[in-house]
Amino acid sequence: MLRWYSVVFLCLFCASSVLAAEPVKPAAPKPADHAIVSGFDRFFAAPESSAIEGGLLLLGELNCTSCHAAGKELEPVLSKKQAPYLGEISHRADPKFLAKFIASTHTVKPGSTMPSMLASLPPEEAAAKATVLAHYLASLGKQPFTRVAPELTAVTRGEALFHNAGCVACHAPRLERVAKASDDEENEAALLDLNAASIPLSRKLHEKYSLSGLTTFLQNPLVHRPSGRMPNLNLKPNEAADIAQYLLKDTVAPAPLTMKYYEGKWTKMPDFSKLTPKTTGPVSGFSIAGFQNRDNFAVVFDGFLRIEKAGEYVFFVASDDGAQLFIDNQLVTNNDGVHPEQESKGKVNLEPGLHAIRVAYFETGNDEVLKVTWQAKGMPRQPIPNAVLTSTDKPASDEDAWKTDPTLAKQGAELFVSLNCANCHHLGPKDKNPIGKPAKDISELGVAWGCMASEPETGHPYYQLSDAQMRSLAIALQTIKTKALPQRKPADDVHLRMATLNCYACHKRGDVGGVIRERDPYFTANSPDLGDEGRLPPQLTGVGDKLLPEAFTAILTKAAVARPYIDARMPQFGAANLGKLAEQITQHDLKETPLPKVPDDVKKLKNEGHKIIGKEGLTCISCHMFNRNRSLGIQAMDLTLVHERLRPEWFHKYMQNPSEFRPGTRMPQAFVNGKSTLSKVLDGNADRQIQALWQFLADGRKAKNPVGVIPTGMELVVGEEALIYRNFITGAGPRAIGVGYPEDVNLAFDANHQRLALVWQGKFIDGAKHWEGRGQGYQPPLGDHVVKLPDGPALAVLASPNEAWPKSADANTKDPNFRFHGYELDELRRPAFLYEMLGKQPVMIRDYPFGAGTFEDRRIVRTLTFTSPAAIDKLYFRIATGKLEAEADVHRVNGEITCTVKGGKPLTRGADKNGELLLPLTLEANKPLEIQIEYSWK
Amino acid sequence: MRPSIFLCFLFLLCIPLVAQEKKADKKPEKQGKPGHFDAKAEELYYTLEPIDIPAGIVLESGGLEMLPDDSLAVSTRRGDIYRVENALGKDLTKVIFKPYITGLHEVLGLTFRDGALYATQRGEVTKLRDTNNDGRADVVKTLGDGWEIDGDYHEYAFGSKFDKDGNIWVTLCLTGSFNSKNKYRGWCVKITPDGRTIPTCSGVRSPGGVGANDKGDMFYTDNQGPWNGTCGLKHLKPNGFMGHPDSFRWFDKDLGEAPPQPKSGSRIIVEQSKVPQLVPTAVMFPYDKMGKSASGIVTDMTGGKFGPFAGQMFVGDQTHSTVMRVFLEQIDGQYQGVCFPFHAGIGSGTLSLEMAKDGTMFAGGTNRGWGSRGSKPFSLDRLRWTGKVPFEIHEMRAKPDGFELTFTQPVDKKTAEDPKSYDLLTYTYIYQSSYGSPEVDHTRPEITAIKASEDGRSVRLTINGLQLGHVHELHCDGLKNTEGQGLLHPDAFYTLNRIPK
Repeated sequence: MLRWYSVVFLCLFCASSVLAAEPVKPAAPKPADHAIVSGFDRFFAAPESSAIEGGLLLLGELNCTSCHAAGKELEPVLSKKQAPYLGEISHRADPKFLAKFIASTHTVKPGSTMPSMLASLPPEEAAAKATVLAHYLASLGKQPFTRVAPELTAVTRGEALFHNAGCVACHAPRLERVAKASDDEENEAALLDLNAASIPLSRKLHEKYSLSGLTTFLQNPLVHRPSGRMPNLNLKPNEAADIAQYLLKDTVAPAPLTMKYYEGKWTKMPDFSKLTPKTTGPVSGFSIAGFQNRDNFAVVFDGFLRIEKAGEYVFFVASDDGAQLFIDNQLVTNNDGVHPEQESKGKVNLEPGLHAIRVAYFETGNDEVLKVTWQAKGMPRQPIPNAVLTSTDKPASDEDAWKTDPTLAKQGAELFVSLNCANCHHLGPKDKNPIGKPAKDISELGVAWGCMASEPETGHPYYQLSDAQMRSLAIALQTIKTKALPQRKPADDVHLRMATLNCYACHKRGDVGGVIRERDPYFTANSPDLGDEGRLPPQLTGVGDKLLPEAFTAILTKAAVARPYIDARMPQFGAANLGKLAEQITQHDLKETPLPKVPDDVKKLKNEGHKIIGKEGLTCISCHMFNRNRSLGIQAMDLTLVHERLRPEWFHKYMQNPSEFRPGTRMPQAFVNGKSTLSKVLDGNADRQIQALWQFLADGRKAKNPVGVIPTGMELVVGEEALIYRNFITGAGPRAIGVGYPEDVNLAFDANHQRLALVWQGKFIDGAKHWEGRGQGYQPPLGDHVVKLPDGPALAVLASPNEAWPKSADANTKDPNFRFHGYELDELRRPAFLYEMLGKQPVMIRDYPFGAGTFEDRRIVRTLTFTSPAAIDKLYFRIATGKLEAEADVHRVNGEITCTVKGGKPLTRGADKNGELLLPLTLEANKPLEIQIEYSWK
Repeated sequence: MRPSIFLCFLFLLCIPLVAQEKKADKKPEKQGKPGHFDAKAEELYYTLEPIDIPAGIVLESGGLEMLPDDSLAVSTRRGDIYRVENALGKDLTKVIFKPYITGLHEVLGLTFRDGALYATQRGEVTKLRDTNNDGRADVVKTLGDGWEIDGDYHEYAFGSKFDKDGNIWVTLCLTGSFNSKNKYRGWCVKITPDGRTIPTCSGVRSPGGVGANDKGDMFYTDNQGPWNGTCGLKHLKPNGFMGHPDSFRWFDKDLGEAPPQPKSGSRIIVEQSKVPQLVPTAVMFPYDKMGKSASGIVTDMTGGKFGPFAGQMFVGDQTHSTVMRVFLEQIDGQYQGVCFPFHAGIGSGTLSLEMAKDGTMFAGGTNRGWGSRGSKPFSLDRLRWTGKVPFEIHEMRAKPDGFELTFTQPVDKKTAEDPKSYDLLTYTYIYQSSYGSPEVDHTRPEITAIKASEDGRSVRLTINGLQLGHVHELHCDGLKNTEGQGLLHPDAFYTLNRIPK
């Protein structure tokens, strides 16, 4: 049977749009001429492509297996496109539209993959059956279908989001942006007509959808369409609403408000009953946007406010000049008079139902402002949405209103099953609809009749298939029948899945896919200076060798994106629809490349990595953000995300030649032929430096800011004098005294336990934790090469050199055997700490450290003076603990620092990591004993 | 059968009580009105002048002290101390800030004696001296540190000026303002001149300031929270218990036995009869009506240079950015008294107060971590008397059968003796372990007789229905002076813990 009616309809459609082209309207978009399956059309439509693979893809996309059972061996290959749930369809879609759509599916929605079950019937009969089905569908949901007039500001925002957030990677754009010229000018092909080649999205969507229904749908399409072919873009509720407003901008609904416009000069609100308006008319919202830059006018907005919940409502009116708001003719808030923008508010208790609302506004001169907002319990302050406003309190005319007929609905329920609609469509996720007529197994299917006949056949679904689609399906079915399916490799499954889900619309993998030229201008960045890397989704060649499995899964299922600067959102397709995509990609891509061995320990690598990444090193932070801190230049990917995303082996390879892995990247090559451009660190050895970077970045967000990062904190910068910071310092207790020295060395003294707790190089400390907000918590040193010195008392009397060193008191309580006496400051404000060992023979200690040495060989020299009123021997000062190595009188501690002692001869005890470096002291009565300890990082 | 009959009887008795209480629960009565501050009107009598703070200095002032050379020492929450010169001068553009020391730990108390400045840091009281006379401290000596801290930001230590024996009184905020995790949190300790730490009062919760009255007795402000229904001024009576029992855990053989545990959900005045050490709040600052965060304390010892309020106390409120005025009296040896609005408009949240010998009051402000009406992040203001006497209630004293009000100017007898000029309401707060309390137990006592004195300087109110333990909120809106002017601040909030015999 010829589909003559659709041809007529098309002609009419074209003719009417041409006639309506007044004054200037773009030509009507060309509709699709076959079922649009993006993955098939792009990769399997060409004669030379694999017809079997294309056919397998179509068997899933056309939902063939909902009727025709597939064998076990086909199950993992076919990814079935579960049809939308219809239980709530009556909230989203106008039943009248559904009737039309079911009756003439491919004319109402050209390119739809939904087959028509009524195509073989005469139009009247098809329309009658479709109406019966529509009554059934309308009877299912609880929420009724309502139309709401669009809001212009939301429409504008929605337009931008629709074109930038990634919707037009699959759907046709509605704003024209010029594609850039092809690189290959000679072979320049004609530009693709995106309207005909995109997943269909009607320009008359307002005929189908309600605003609330479409908004709910866009917030998470997977709830309503479990197939994930329309993926979840993780839109915020307001973003979903804005896009819905845009797509439904032509909705015809009663105007929310009517407006009367007056002219005249007033200093307070005039009596409008005595004035004649210059113009009147319907408007959308309490907006004076149409009257900008005018003086001496007034506007009165009238309408009705639909209240659902009884309660107290607060109305706010901000205006320049006067404005008043009335509810049910009672003045609620009065912002009258000539004034700059100022706000007034008023409360009113409202019962459910319609309430007359009026906002009157006048302007004399200069700026014009009118903002009307409201607020109630459980409803944050917001503009009054059009959804609750209507310009009339008369019910909508009865003729047009849809009324569900229960008898028809019942017939529809039966028809829904007998027509096999129920084979594909469930009402909800838990619903298992009865299967209609049993159909043949997929391996028994013929290719020239039934669903695949060139003309619709009664009792069979009719698809609008292209010749290429027909051919592929036929070959695939034939191959299945003859059990001649070739052996599959992971790469085949990956390609099929990525084509099915249209990953290729955004991502390139190998030579396949990627953003096509025509859609390229719709991929944008919120920070344009990042170039193409900032706007195009990353290419996926070798991605399985790059990403850690958890990170890969998180990207696919939790939208864990590391590139916030790309406007397009990473869609979520639903774990069930991904199959084993991540595993298969990894299985295909992963290469065993062992990390090179480096001689340095982790601690050293971390310290050096800190240096390399910062301004004194390779200045990675000139482009990369670091722990949410802005970089010095472009805001490229945050480096503190690196360790949780990347495999260390890939990182090592990548660092040596970034553009091999990311063609066209702006990332410079810092390591060439095993040599670093930074020769001063780790002998300029590339392997060691890259490992240092990795180890440093492995601390993630806990890694301290490299030098040069624009800190969000409050760094205490040491000048020509020493700087003191008494506060909670990590590792030095709640009564820590931090000292930064001009020589670029720092220390922290623990005044609870009278001990030197920490020494470090570089930056002193960040005061932000304690100086912003209330100041909770401990602050670690800001610099690098932080060395922790022994816990516990530094001074003790031991009966013998073998006696165990006394235990440390709790960090938050004072050591009862000691007393802190404060400090004296020298001419450079360097403190000499004063403390006392209590007891029968008390010892006074003066502990005077300062910075020394050259920048390359920074040191802390600490002079200690011990005085006691009585002679004491068997007194020991503990200098260091840990792994000790001695070379002449230089003692290396834990490979981190060396201690050189003058004025005494230290002894070592304990093995391996339990070593102790003790200095025996013999005091004569009232005779100060001076010793010196020099700490060096060399 | 007897027990069940008895139970039934009890049950019957309970019904109306329960019903009534439920009703009260449903809608807590909101009565009375806030103390009325009016910065503009107050300016006529006391000028508030902000002192410009140079760029680069973050003067979140926690302590203020006048030095012998008439410069003002200001300590900050960041741990710096500045000497502010010329702050008493006419021309505030001549004020100079000189750094005295940096890098101390949150200094919330300064006092000076014999050439040394004493700073109360979070963990210790420190004696600072400038031995080489270069204007900066070079000896930082720990005087006393007999308490512990653990990294909890709330463990503040507010230090007093020297008392007559040379002690510094340090009030130690609870850990997190809720419990006493570390030693002497929730205590007031005395640091003696020789550096000993003497635990003196238990029961402190979250202090905002500490200072002596004109007799040299020490007081502190505590803030609404557990066991504090509202903010208040409390007398640090040696060995007294200030109300929050978590501090009891530090009683030991030296300090003796802890007081009995107070019962939560009671009233302070009821618990005082069972917990003899409990010192009832001398002056309650009704929450919201007078402020939300009581802070620094200073007493006018200038003998009239600050106007008619010699010997009275001034207390800051951090949230409201105000200064309140307090008059105290002793009944049977126990302090109680009244607060009045005094001056609004402090630049940031009022924290520290100080008064110079010439009658200049300084107020330091900060709103870091706790918001304030004053919108500056930190501020230093000075308040000076213009010489013009405002018409104010000067004192309010409890009498066996009412109150006696004295005034700074003679009253107009007609309005003074008209009952319509007054509005009196009483209420108190629940003494409980949970946070704060609504106003409860409201009453409206009857003013049965009013008598103005011959000279019009005082008015005697005879009242039927004084309520022990209640705030007596009195508004004298109708009262006029002989020139027909109303009171600058017609509001008074008297805490009546005892009625004189």
